[in-house]
Amino acid sequence: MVRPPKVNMTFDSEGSAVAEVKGIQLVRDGNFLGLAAPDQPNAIRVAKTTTMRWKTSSEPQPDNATLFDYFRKNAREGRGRPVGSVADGFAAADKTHEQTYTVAYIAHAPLEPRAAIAEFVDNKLTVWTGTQLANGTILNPRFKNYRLPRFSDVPPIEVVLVNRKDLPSAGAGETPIVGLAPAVSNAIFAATGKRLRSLPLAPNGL
Amino acid sequence: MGNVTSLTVNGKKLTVNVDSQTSLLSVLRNDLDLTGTKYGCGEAQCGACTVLVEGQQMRSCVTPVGRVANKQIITIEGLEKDGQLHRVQEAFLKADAMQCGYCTPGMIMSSVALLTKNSQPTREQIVQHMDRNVCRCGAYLRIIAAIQMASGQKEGAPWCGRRKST
Repeated sequence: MVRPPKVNMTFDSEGSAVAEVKGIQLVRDGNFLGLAAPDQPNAIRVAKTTTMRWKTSSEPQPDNATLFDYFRKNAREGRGRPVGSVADGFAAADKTHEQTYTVAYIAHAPLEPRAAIAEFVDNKLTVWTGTQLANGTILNPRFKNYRLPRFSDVPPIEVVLVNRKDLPSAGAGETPIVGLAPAVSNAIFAATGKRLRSLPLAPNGL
Repeated sequence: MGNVTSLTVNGKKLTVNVDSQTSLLSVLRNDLDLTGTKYGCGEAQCGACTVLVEGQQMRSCVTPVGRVANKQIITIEGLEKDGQLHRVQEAFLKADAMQCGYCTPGMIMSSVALLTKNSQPTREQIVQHMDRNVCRCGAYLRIIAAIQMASGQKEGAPWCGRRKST
């Protein structure tokens, strides 16, 4: 996928080196531009040699001082986008099709909404899922510019487990908890031959 | 340019047919089904894709497969011998040196490369060597402990038995 260099820029036009490589397809849908190639080297080569022109948005961008307020205002109140009704959509449809898609479980607080959009065009269904995006642009596309703590950043830490006998048992962090449900679920599978794939694990699932 | 038709991975000569500019990582994962090596950043910054080429650690995500066509490649799948995990793998398990585990194959391969050239690294040498590998869960201290355990410098993890609970 080809993304604009800055937030809220819109796609203008592309020059073309596309036709030179056999099997390359350029897909443009509004402000979305994607490249399909038979292999990775050709995809990279064409992406590098295709010139994109972008229009700058007239809307001023928030600076660091106003960014938090900008997100809070727009996330909570929205930009007045129309909100539809899933139930009404199903009721009004000539034909409905139901399918469940899953994404890998993240053992942390997700950094983005776990949402998806399904788009039907010409009997083809495209499902879009989120990544770390804001206004269509990845917030941290390069580890070179996105500073993460490394070995040299972490000081020696001593972990002290405090046994508070006056309190009931409490959580001990993600590491032991993440494996618990699969372990119990596997035990149920070993005993009954049936897989429970949703929580809570309950007898009515067998 | 041209195609690469065979690779020596984990001691076996394997047949492939890929463009020589294709990344080693994508050939390992997509063509040879060796999915232990992970795609992290795709730009040699995080180390999740680390493999050994002629004993040297290498970022497979930015290594064209044509560069390693006649070389010995070892992936995380190749460390185990005759059903026995490598001592670094054992140490990572013993030290509980991972949370989500995504960086672990790269961490282990980098650790193996370190211990191959320096069997008794100091803590500072471990930090310096491993600093190019990223763990987003922050399991760095346990990874350091695991490397110290694998090198025989430490029997147990540093957080074990340090202080009695109150």
